[in-house]
Amino acid sequence: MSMVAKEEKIINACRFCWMCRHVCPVGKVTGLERNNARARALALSLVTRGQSLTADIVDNIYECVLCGACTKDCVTGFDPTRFVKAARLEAALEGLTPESVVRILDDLEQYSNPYAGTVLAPALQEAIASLPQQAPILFYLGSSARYQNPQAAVTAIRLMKKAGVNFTVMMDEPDSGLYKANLLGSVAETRESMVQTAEMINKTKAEILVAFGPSCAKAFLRDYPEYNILLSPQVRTFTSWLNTLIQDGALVPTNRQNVITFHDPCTLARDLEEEDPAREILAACGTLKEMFLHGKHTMCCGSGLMDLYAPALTAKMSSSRWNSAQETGAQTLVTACPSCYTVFAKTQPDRMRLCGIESIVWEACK
Amino acid sequence: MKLKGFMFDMILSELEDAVGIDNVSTRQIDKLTHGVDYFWLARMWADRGQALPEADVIVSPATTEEVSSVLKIANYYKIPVTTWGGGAGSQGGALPMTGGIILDTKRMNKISECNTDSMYMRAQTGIIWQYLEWHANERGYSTMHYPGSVNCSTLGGFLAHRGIGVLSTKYGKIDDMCLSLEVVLPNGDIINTLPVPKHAAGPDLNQIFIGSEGTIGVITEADIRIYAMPEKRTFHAFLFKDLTSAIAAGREILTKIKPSVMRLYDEAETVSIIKKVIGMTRPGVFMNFALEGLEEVVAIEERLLLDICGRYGANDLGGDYGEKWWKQRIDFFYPGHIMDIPQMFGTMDTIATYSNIEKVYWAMKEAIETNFPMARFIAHFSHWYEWGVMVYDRFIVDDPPKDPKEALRLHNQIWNAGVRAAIANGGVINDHHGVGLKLSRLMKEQYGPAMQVFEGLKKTLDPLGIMNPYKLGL
Repeated sequence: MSMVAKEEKIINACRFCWMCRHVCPVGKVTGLERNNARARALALSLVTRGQSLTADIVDNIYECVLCGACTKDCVTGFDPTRFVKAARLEAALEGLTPESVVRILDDLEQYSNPYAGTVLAPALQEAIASLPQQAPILFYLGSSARYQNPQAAVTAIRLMKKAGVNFTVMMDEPDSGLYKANLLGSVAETRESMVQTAEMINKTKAEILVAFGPSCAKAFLRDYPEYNILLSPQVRTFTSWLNTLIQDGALVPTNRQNVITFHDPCTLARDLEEEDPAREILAACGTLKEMFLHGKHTMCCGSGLMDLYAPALTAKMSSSRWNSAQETGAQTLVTACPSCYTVFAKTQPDRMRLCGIESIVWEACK
Repeated sequence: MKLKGFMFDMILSELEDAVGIDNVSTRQIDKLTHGVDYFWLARMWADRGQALPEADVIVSPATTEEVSSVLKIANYYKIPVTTWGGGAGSQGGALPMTGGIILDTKRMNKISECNTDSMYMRAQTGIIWQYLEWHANERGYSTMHYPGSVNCSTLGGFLAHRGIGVLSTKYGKIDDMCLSLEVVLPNGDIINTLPVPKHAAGPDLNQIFIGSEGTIGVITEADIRIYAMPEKRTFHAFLFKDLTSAIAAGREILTKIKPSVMRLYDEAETVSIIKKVIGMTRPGVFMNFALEGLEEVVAIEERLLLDICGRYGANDLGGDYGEKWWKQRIDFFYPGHIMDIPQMFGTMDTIATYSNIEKVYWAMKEAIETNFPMARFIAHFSHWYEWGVMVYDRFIVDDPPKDPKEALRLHNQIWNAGVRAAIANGGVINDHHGVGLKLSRLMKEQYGPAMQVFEGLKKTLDPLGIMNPYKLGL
């Protein structure tokens, strides 16, 4: 049985159903009929009925950003991301993976991150070196922060130190396995890399793991248990942790002049169902003006991963969010995800400021 | 489209020039996804691995001017144009039966005005309705158009086939909600209907294009009414002895008050509902109401509703069912909650005056059940007026023929029988799903010599017959 055929039940359910169209961030910005779960299911339903999986179908499969909005919307509980991942795996087995994605997979293999990152920025190296090698709290930065947005990682580390947190960061941090899971689906190599990461984390003897990126938090909290991989530390999102530090008085924002709008990272608001901590943090740092489609209705900004193989599509998605941000009248867009930050930075309009949540708190606490 | 090779590529380059190279596609995935809509026959055709209707090219304009350019090109080269919004229509209205151009409107998704003085929003017609509703909600208003396909259908789609939402009894159909239209005619001319829908300046241009299903032009913008959010929305359900008493009660209710929801289920549908409401089966017909608006007005309406239903011998079943129904009102549209392949099914929604509606219901039921014993027949009456009511009657065949051509034949025979029974008893071909390909052949039977009015419009506005061929009997 092919990988796609294993998901035939979901494919057959979705192939004639458009009910999640309104939540698909890709379809919203492209207006293309092929950019929704129904279109992908329809094409794959023909594959399960004997037609060939073609490069044309596979290209469209990779236009899914795997934000999971369709899954959350389905009142029946069908999960279209399952057949998307199955089709990606099938494509890999048939040698149909798009060249742009193969390059990322090669980088993952060679560098253990999709950004071909080898050396950390000196400031980040220095910040990590200043921390104890072992501590009850492990701060997991993630590849995006380490190689694409090191300044955010440095600021977050400074903030944790300012709050007096006894924490450490792994100098050679392993990849969470999330990228491979998204690009290739559920393959043995995905689980293998997650197992290795879990072993390294468990060896630190940390009691709490604070994940800087919501996608990493989602991987640890949702995907690892699905793969039956045990993580010893309790996993916390950076936003919930940061909010606790503020609520406990360990950080005291004093500058509340900012007029802010907030982009909910989709993994945070939907997969992890966490909306309030970031809002409480921002309320302590200024005035929050909500964007059209926020909280659980948030629209994915395009994702750092898709930006690597479909930058034009990602740019459309982040531009659409910038438009919503501008409509609020706020001058600053805050996001709580280093990967989102990288994507937004590429389409940042004039007269708008982009800020990570760690930076807005750092500024407010100065 | 018969043009191939060199000439085809010449036309493609013209289309790319009109709407941008990224917005013209000949990819197989795009042809496939525009080859199946919500029509049962299209779904069955795909399920059985049959060749689907296929456009030659998919064009996605973003502006009225781009639509105009596309239609000018199509008109010059005599290329069929089928307009596609959400593709969630059940009548095959958006299927490209003769190939040519699919004009997908979903890039036309901008809201240009929210006028809270005159209570309307102006938007491009490719906008998904849920976005229109969310934008209205953000400003404290609602469109009050809540159809089952609100998540996936476009403003233009609802206008094209005269759609309806569950609150229609109070707020009306889409044709009542539309103030004004911008339309691109088949020759590429851009026209506007009058700025208001009520006037004495000749026939109503709005109502010529609303329901025209893309056969005489493309609706590109519309002014759509918005409403204040109701202070209160409350529900009441009743069990009536039979359809006759329930319809009589419904008729009297509408002479005095205006519920937003009135849904009466026939005995077959009541069997499953009543068990959920009271935990046991009971004979009769179930009816659910919603009242909404200013709290003090709703209180008066509620008193009158209870009084009238009581006088017709109905048992008051309270508001719990209605509350739950409201929260789950579109769940039925998700897979697993609605009929699906391999079942064969169809919704023969029709409408008639109070004098005729029961005759229509019984005639259709008999036509289906007598002639097609393999089919089940269920119905509810869910959109009410002072003069009549629509019946949403459905047939279901659990084990249709395996051969696709046999299945198609049976499907069309059932539809012919049901619709002809409706027309013969004072009903009409359709209430709110439209005509499309599914019922096109029956339009002349419905209209008789009046059909020449539509044919005249078609000949004048679309002399080359390029717009959505084989639909609407045109």
